[in-house]
Amino acid sequence: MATRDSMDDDQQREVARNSTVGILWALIGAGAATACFWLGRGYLDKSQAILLYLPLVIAVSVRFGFIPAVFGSVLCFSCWNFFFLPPYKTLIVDNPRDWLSLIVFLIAAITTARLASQARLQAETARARELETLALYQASETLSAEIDASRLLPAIAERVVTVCETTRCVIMRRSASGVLTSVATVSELALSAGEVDLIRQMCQIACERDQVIGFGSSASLWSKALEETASSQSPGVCVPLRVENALVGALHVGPRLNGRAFSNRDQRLILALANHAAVVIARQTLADEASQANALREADTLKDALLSMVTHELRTPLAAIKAASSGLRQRHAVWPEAARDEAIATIDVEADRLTTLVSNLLDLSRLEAGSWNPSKDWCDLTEIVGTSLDRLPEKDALRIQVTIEDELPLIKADYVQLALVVTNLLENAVKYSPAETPIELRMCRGRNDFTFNGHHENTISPSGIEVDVRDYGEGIPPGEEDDIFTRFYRSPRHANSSIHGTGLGLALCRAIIEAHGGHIRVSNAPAGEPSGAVFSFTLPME
Amino acid sequence: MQDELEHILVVDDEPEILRAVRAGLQAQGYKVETASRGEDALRMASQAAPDMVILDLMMPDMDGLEVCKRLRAWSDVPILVLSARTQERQKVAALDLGADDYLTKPFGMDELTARIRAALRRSGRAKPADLPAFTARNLTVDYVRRLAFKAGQELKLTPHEYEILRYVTQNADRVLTHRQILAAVWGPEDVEETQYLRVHIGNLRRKIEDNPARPVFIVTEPGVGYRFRTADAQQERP
Repeated sequence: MATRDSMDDDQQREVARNSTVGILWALIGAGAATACFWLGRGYLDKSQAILLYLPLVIAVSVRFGFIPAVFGSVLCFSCWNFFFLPPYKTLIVDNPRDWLSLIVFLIAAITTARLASQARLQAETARARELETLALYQASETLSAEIDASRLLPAIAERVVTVCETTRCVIMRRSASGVLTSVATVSELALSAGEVDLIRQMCQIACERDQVIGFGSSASLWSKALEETASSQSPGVCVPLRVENALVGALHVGPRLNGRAFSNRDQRLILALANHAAVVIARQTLADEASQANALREADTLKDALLSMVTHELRTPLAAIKAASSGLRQRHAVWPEAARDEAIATIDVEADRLTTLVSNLLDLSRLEAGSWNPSKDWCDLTEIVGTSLDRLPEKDALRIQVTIEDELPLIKADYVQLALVVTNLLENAVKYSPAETPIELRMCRGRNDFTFNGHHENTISPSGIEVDVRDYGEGIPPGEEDDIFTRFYRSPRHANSSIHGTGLGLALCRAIIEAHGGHIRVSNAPAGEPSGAVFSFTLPME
Repeated sequence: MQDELEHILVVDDEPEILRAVRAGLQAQGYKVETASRGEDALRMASQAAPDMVILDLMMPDMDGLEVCKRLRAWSDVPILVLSARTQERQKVAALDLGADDYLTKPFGMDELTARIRAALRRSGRAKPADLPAFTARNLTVDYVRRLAFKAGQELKLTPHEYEILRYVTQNADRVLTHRQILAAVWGPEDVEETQYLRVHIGNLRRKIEDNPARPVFIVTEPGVGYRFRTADAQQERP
């Protein structure tokens, strides 16, 4: 048979078993039919008997295929000859007419058997294809239904394992430098580090050779490639994953559960699913590249913001210092006492401004790089308020009205960082509210819930500490509540005002509070009260 | 004040800083020597016997901490360490090793001279442990009877509060790290228990300060420890 060559072991074994059963059935059938004819030989003509053998042969050929049918034909032929054709009980045929009947029967039986068994094989192939198509269809349906890209590869691996009834399936992604990393693993048993390593090694070999290894004869390649790790167990299959010309990864399928080799159908399914996996990985790589490009663009924007801030905030004090100091150095210039003092004061004040700017930049970059982790220790908030007030000019410190809840517990926090937050918030309030208005600083135990921007929210830390700084300035323009905590952000309202700002202070506050596991936010004073901004932060107790 | 000029050794590897500090201190009437390497600093300290050492913590050849440690091995000259903003840990380590005070770069000349004056005043004084009592503004501590008075009123202090007050006043104007105070009051095995210290300092302030939220006697050195300030706070603040 033509299809015989392409059959794999599995199918051949199946066919052999089928044939044996068929031959048995043919024997039983022929015996039974012969017995019937023998009992009814008084009523039946010998030529009618042979016609009754024919359905038996057809039934055997339809059910069990060609070989049992041929066997059945010959058997029936022999039985008929033996029992019903004179001379009886011999295989000798005297009558030439009987010869003719016999030969016609044999030809008819074999031809019918052949046709019937071919029809049967075609039906079987069609059924197998249908199953395969169904499996693929189900696979692609799972994939298209899966929105979350990170779960696509596990879904593919899962499909491979269920459809091909294998022990495991591992999908590896290959980086541009050729390093394979496992991105999806579906396995009956947890894989040990050694096994994962072996799988990676196998995938590496498949990628290097750029060929599927493990199907049929190519399985012998493993024994050569993996000599040192040779195990009695079949190592399975590795398929390199390609999209166009790029090698994007490899798919490994473990040995089958029943220990048998993969059928043709399994091989086709594995290759088809491997194709899916390749496309998914390629798509992910593209998405990663796009997000990297995005990050770069954001970094660029940030750099622009930094540059524009630096040009203004750095150059202004530098220009002032340069003007004052070079003026003072002029040998022949005659400086009135007051002007001289003013020039010197300018240098001092502007140098302080530069110091603050550089310190803020330094702190922020240290915090964002994670190299300034809070060194937490027990802190007394009252003490932190004192430190912050000491850092403000006395005239500003006098504006601040402090309310601290009695018996406020110590909290675990970085004293220096927290003092920086409180100082920054106070300086901010001083800067953006009229000089004669008070600034209220309130510290209390965190409440279970409070209203923020009209929404009822639950705080993360019901038992933490809450700190509010309320000023009586203009308040925050709606929509900027979040932006003002962004690095280098300056409200458009102050773009041309005389109030200097670097857009660093509040960003630093947010970075510090978040590093402490707390939250910082700003809102406007509730309706009905005088306008003003309320900055609040919460800190968890520990 | 002594007859001759007070002698200050400034150790820093940056020539700009040396130049500026030397000019500023000379203008204030001090005799200044400079060193740009740790080895030189140790040699000069042993030869010239300065009245005070100003020491940068970040130097190429020898860690400022090492200089501090070696100097303390044989001398109790006041040491003022200069640190960068990113060196909180080294700063505290230097103070634990016996440095008297610290300043963070960049600093103002007024601040530097104030610290120098305080340190020289302290080292010129008789050993505080020999004195029977201590007075700063309206606060008096009687070491003999173990009592403290504020504006003539006796203060009711717990034993720990009294011990803290005794230790900080006997080391007045000096920065004391949390570890140093804890070791002196509670003992060397309790140096990590900062929450005791926070609570007792808070209680002590409520008894000795007019406004405990803005202390003028026991001031906080953020991230470092405490300092008992003898001079009027407003005067010494820049």
